Amino acid sequence: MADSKTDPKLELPQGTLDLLILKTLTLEPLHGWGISERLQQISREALQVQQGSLYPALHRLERRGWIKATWSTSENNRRAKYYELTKQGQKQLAAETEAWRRLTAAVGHVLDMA
Amino acid sequence: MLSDLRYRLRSLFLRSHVEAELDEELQAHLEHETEKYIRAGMSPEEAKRKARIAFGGPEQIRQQVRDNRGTRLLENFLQDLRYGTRSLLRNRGFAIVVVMTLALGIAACTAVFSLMDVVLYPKLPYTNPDRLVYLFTPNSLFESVPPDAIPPSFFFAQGIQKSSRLYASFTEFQQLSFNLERKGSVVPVEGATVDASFFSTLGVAPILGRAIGQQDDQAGKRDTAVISYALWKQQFGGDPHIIGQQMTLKVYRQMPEAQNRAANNSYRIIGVMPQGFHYPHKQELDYGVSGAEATDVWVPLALTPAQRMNDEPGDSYSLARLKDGVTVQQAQAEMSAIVAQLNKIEPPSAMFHGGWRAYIKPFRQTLVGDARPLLRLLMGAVGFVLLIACGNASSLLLARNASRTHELGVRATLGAGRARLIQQMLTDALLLSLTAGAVSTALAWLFLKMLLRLDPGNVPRLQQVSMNPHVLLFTLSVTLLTSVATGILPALSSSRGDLVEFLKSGGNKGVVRGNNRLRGVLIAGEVALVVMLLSGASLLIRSFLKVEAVPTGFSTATLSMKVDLPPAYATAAQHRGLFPRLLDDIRAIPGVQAAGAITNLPLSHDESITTLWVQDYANEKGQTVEAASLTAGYFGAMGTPMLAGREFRLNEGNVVIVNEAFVRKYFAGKNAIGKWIANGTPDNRNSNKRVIIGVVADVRHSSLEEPPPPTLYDCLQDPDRAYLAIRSSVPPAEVVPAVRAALNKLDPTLTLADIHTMNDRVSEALALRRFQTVLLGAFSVMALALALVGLYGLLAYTVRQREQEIGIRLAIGASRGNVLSLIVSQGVRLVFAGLLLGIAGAFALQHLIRSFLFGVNATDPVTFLLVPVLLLLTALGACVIPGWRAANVDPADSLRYE
Repeated sequence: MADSKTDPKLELPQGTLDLLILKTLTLEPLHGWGISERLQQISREALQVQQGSLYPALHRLERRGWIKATWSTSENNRRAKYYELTKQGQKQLAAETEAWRRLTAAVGHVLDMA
Repeated sequence: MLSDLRYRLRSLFLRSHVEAELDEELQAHLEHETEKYIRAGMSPEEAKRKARIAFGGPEQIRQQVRDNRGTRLLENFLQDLRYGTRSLLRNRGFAIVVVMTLALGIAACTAVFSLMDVVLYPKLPYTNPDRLVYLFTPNSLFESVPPDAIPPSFFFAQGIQKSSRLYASFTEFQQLSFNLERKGSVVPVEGATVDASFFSTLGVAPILGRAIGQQDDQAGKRDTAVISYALWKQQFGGDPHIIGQQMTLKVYRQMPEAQNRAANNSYRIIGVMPQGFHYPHKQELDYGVSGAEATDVWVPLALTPAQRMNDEPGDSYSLARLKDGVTVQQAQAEMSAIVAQLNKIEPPSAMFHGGWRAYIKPFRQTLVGDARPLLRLLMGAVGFVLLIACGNASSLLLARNASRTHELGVRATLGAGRARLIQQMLTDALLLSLTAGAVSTALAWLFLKMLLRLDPGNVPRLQQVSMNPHVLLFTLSVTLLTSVATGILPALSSSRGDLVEFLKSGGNKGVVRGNNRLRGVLIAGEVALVVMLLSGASLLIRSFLKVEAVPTGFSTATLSMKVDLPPAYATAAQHRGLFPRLLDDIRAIPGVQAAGAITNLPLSHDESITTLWVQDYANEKGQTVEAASLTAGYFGAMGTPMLAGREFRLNEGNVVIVNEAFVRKYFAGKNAIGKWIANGTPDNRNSNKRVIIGVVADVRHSSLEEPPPPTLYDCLQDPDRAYLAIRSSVPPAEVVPAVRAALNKLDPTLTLADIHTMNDRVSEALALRRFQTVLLGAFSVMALALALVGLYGLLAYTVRQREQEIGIRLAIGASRGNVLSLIVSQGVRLVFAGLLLGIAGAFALQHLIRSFLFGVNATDPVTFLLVPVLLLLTALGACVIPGWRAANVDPADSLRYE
């Protein structure tokens, strides 16, 4: 549960988490914690991902074949599950990015009208 | 797609491994988070705490990840299955009762279905047998003859064949008995004379050689033969060079008009039919001539031009294959039109001129015979039994769920949704049903064994019944349906718990009252079904007793047997008075009181009709009556009373005896003695007058249930075969050897056949009725027992549940009698509700059973008095036991628990 008193963070709209996860994985394979840290960093602390959504999302993406997981040693010398983007995942990311851009542009137009 | 499947399968089958990986992944996250806080300067303890808070509940995350694996439904199911198995094993008594109840219902259904499978839907060795139809030409002149016993005459068959457009193929054939003479031995074989389209109509080709073709089926030429696989193997050792060999076949017996055609005895074998092909035989041919079980030889029909013009119905059958898309109704309409035309062009001199009608009977219908309505009745009955079993199982599950209120409440509190609880309870029901299904296959096998013992002998293919894959598939489907039928009510009702109420009561209270009301409704419904079944069974039993009490017109103690003479006795001279001499010898046997002979013995499936002209009666051309020929002494031996006049003397040619029905119809019940009758043929009407010298009592001839038709008896002289009727004061076991010795003294090659007392024949005639009565009775008793168990179970459970209340009642002064009547009245109320419903149902369904009844009405008052009394008495028994237990509750004991 997000603590809204101390943390004025944004709630992620439905479905965008998958897109963001795919995006963070374009640079390099990351483990779960890494992904959540990276998202927070890039969004300048505006977005915080709940673990309760992150891990189900990761498993869902893996099931769909958009990311794949390998176990390897992390920077602090412990075994961690690293996720990387698959070819299918790259295609999906491109498609979803495009869809997102068009959506936000359209919503922007409508909001700017006034 | 592939990755998806791989992922799901891995999640399912490497479940513990996948779970361990998830744990490790989440643990790694937590550690990374902790390190982050330590790096930020927190103490390790505080960092750990902060990380935990940020992380949230690991169990929720795990559950959500699991949900995203796409295997949740199945996993839940497996979990429920494990859980259900464990809990049912703990509750073994409950599980056994439910499983046995359901198994009984499913097994009854399976047994009846396996009967239907083999009797109604047999596999046939012909191409597309559903397109085959028989053609018949009934005639109102033969009022006592069933329409499907009158195949068209050659004249009509040829005419129909020429004019019809709706048949792809059309064949005519006759049955014929042969003796096959080989290497000095004589083997009787059944045969058929067939035209060139016989085999193609059935759509079966020989495995060796060729079928009978146009070149074989030529007038006056009959020298080729096709043989069966069985004959080829048994008589010719499966010789691969069989084609072209000659064999000697002598006609053993056939109808008189065919006799002059069978001059030739040597046949060239031109083909061998595939294994299992034995058409025509009696199961697939109504009123076949020789009653052949299997035909092994086929020879050409070889009609002469004169025969093609023969317009007397004989013993040749017409079988046709409908063109694709043509319905039986269309064929019937076409044939009616053609027959109407043929009626006009038939020579007016013909004896039955003008009265022919058309009747088309699908081949399958002949195969199934009277068994279809019977099997439908039985299927309905076992359907009721299964419903009752489901009701009981449902009721038991409801009771069990009521005692699981605590467990269900805890599960709901911990977050199990209603759908999840329903899923779990349906899984329980499935588990019980599947077990019951497995048990039921063994039980059904037992049922079938018992069923075959009751074989009435005239349900076709009954002995071939088996638990084949069809049947098992049926059992599985019924099992699955049963699980839903059983599980759905308890699942819906018990999953509707009130959480607040549950928590307030400290986890003790649940939804119990509503449950019991539902169980009461189930039991009342069961009672209603039982009432319907019981009244059906009672009606059948009453009918059976009525049929059994029908006056047969003969003494059942009379012994009867058949003597069949070979062709060596073809002429009167060759006979040398065999039957009179034999009867004299039999009468001389010590203990024999009377003996006689007859051509068509009652209840021996032999019928004969004759045309007649009656003095002073409004005769119609071609009118017919039942007929038989018999010797002096026959009526005495059969115990059939002479009502007026006298019996025949030896070889009296120009006198007849008639029965009561004859006198009623032709002489309006007045004196018939001394009146004359004549053969119906117009040209010899005056020359052939015969005087009525006696009147005998009516005899049930073709069945016990049909009223005897008018019958004409003339004096028997030198028949080819006849039944002997013998009345004696010593047992049959002593008479039969003496009769055999007497026969063999006259001719050592002759044998006695079909030796039975008339009592045996009555019993055989009752067999189908006994079969249906016993089965419906048994299913009704089964249903009654199940419903009583259900009623008892409900009341016993109520008593246990209300023990404290009863204790309090007793403590504050209720008498034991009050308590007893409290419980009993609860049961009796349910029974009454069910009874009323059931009687209403039985009245609503009375048309279904009417055709099975004899001598009783479907609203028979005795039945509708007896059934409620029987039900109330037995139900009272089921109520009193729990009531007694309630009355004996110890108030001190029961209150201590509060």
